[in-house]
Amino acid sequence: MKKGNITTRTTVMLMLIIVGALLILLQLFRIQYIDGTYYRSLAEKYSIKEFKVPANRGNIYSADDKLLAVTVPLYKVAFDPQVAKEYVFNQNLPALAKGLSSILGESENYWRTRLKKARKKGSRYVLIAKNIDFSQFEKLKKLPLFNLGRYKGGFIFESQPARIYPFGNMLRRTIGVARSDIKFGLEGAYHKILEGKDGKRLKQKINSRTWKPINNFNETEPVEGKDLETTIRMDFQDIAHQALSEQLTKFNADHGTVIIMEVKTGAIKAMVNLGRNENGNYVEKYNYAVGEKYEPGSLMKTFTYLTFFEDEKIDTSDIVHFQPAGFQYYDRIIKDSHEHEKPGMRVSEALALSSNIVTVKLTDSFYRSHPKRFIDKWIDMGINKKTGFEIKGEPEPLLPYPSKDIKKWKPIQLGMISFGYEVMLTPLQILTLYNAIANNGTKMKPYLVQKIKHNNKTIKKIPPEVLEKHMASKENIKKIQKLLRKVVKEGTARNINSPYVKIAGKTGTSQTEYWTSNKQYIASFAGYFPADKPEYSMIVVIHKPDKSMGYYGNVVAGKVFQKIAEEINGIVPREFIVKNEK
Amino acid sequence: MAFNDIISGNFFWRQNRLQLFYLIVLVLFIMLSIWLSHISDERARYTNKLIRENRKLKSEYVSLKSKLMKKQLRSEVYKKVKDRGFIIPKRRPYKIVTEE
Repeated sequence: MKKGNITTRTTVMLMLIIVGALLILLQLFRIQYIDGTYYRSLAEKYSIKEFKVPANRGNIYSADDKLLAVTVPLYKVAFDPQVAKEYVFNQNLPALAKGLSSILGESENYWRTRLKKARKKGSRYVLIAKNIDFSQFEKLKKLPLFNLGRYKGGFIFESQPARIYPFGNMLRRTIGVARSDIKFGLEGAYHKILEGKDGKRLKQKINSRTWKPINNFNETEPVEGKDLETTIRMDFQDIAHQALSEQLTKFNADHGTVIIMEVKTGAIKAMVNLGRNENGNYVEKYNYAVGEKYEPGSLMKTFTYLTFFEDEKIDTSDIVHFQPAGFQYYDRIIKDSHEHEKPGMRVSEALALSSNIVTVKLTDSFYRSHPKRFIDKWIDMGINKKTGFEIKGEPEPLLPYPSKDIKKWKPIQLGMISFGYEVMLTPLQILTLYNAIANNGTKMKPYLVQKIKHNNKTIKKIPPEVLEKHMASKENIKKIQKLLRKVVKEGTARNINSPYVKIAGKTGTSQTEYWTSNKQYIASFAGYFPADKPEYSMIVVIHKPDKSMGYYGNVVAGKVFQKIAEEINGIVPREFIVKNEK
Repeated sequence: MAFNDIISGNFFWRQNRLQLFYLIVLVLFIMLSIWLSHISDERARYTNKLIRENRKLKSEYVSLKSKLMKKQLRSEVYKKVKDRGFIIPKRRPYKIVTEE
């Protein structure tokens, strides 16, 4: 090799090394200074992150301190069958299948085959269970193979906060839901109070799993949601739920509702809404109590007679003569459910026996030329007004107003309204009116939330609200109270005259879908107990019972009322005062 | 102090004597800083562990309370005892209240 060649080669190599070094230096300069800002922000982005500090959603409690809605983590458990070694898998599989079968159901064979197949197929993710609570999760975690953890046993889990309702379907429509797409019930009505406000916290990554807060405080502190204490008593709710469910099943009815209200305050103590689902079971599927208005039929006669008394048209002992076969009213013949033997009865008997003939005849004779006077009286009583209940969905009551326009008002409507047709109210609106009668004429606003709490301390107390101090004169209210007691003692509801608790109220049997060939019925009973010192008012409405089994208000709805009233009577103590002499 | 003095460590020397005290203080500060950083990381891990435990315990409490509440329901109790001759009371109970 010539000396000149070696020198040239060395020089070339040196030049290449220098050029390479220069290129590296140039690249370093570009990264450090030209693109430096971008790379620094990128580094910050991956090592420092703003985390949401979720606010705890408030709980919902009953008046007797039972949890109605609470947020807890629910777990999703899966299994990677490829993780465990062959002999470990085979050794533990029988015990694992047995455990899964006892915790989650299905047979041992089902689990054994499923997991074996998944391992054979090379599957790396087998869903075992989702939305399971903590106690089930803990049991699963302790099963053979699962107890070896993720990297030796293939046990995979993730947890998600979820809203749970410990009483399941009971009271479900009243408690409601608050999701981004739908909000109803208490969850919807008090969403802003319950949800709180999420906070923010900056954290720095210190290893692959741990993020360390940069400061000792949150950049924005979360504001926890407040708790709600409702007026619901779960023992009342349970009694009402069972009683309604049994009766709906017995009469194969479409749906029904029960509401119990405290007379003095208007506090709702129970609200049951049951409808038949596709499997034939009765579940809470719609809030009929608040949202479904219907023609209440004879329940409205109470207010017709109250109107007569208020206008001094008639008194309870007056006798009314009529044709027992029926009363010709415009183009219709008004009949009673059972034909009366005598052609005359006292006003008190007319209400107690729920006579359509007498009610329409009296209304027609008193108000035919002045229907506005009758309707105005009902408006004064607030029959056309919404209660202003806190849960969304309360419709405006329907009460036609007399007008010369034949499209808006037909003269026959007056008589129909007097016995509860052409007028539509919800069960809650009717109960509010009956509660006012029990409360000596003072109409209370129904309500469900009595306290807003935080950390077990009351931060706001919601007092009862009076809607109308005097719905009618005290004297006339007393008359109606006596008549409602008579309904149960001697009238249409004598079948529910309890030896344990004095009940007062009114039956209602109204027709629905009468414009079709398959006419259906709605059975109702509204009243209060104990009749001499009312504490609770209640309404029971049952839609479309099987006609062949019965449809009258006293049988279908009245019996539920009696059962609930007697059982509540058995748990609400009467005070017996003993003087302590020293 | 010149740049060369810093590089050669001459600033540790004053009047031909090693300024050992400053050196020790400096090393102590460095050690303290590393120790505090470790403590901070440890606390972060411990806090996360407590948060997880708190969630677990709350979940366990709710899960158990839910079961208990369901079992306490009057209808559930009745199902368990009706075959033993227990009946639902319908007569009103008395609560004895003593007054001075």
